[in-house]
Amino acid sequence: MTINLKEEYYAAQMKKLNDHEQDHLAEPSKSALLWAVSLSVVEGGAAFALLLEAGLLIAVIGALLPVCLLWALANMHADHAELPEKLDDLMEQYNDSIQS
Amino acid sequence: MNRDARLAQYRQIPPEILQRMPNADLNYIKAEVEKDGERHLSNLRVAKFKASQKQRWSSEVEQFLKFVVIAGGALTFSLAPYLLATKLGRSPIALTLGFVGGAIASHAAHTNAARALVGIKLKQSTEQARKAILLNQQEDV
Repeated sequence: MTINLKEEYYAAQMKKLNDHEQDHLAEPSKSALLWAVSLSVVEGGAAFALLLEAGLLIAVIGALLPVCLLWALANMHADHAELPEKLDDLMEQYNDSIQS
Repeated sequence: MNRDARLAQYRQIPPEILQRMPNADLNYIKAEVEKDGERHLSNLRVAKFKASQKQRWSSEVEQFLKFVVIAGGALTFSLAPYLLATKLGRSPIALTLGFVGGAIASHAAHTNAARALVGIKLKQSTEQARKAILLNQQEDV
């Protein structure tokens, strides 16, 4: 039996990472992404159809504006409300092994 | 010698010497090295999270944002029902339903988009950490 302590060292790191963060590799949730994208298409499509009489350029801009706003707000919400909570949880988990 | 330097030296012990060690010592060293690895990774991850963590919104700001999303989305999302309603003759019931449906659709779109974006960010962060570990391993072993 040969033992390589370097291998053990990195295997322990990988195991620790998997213990706490393995779930993230299955993200992003397919259904959430599908809902968000299809609702964006509906929102943009309707605006596009309504504005098409006014010209193509205006229709494209009018369709993109609400969709961009939606995703920008969602991104801000993710950064400032949902992510901090998740990161706090993760930091708490990791802190246990820093102290030992 | 401080703890980190000593643990780093443990890792340099060649296998031939490890094989001649008593089992008790070997197990002790192995456990120490593993604990050191976990500690090292935990420090890195916590530092990374702290750096990327943004100011958390107060609940008032969050409530306000929710209101903006629902009110604004009710307008834009009701365009699709509005198109249908005009085709069917502008009945006020259809327009009201379109507005309510628009608010719900907007809320659903917002929460799902935020969830998907959180997922994407977490996944990126985890994959980065995985790659970093594998890279360090390749360089070191």
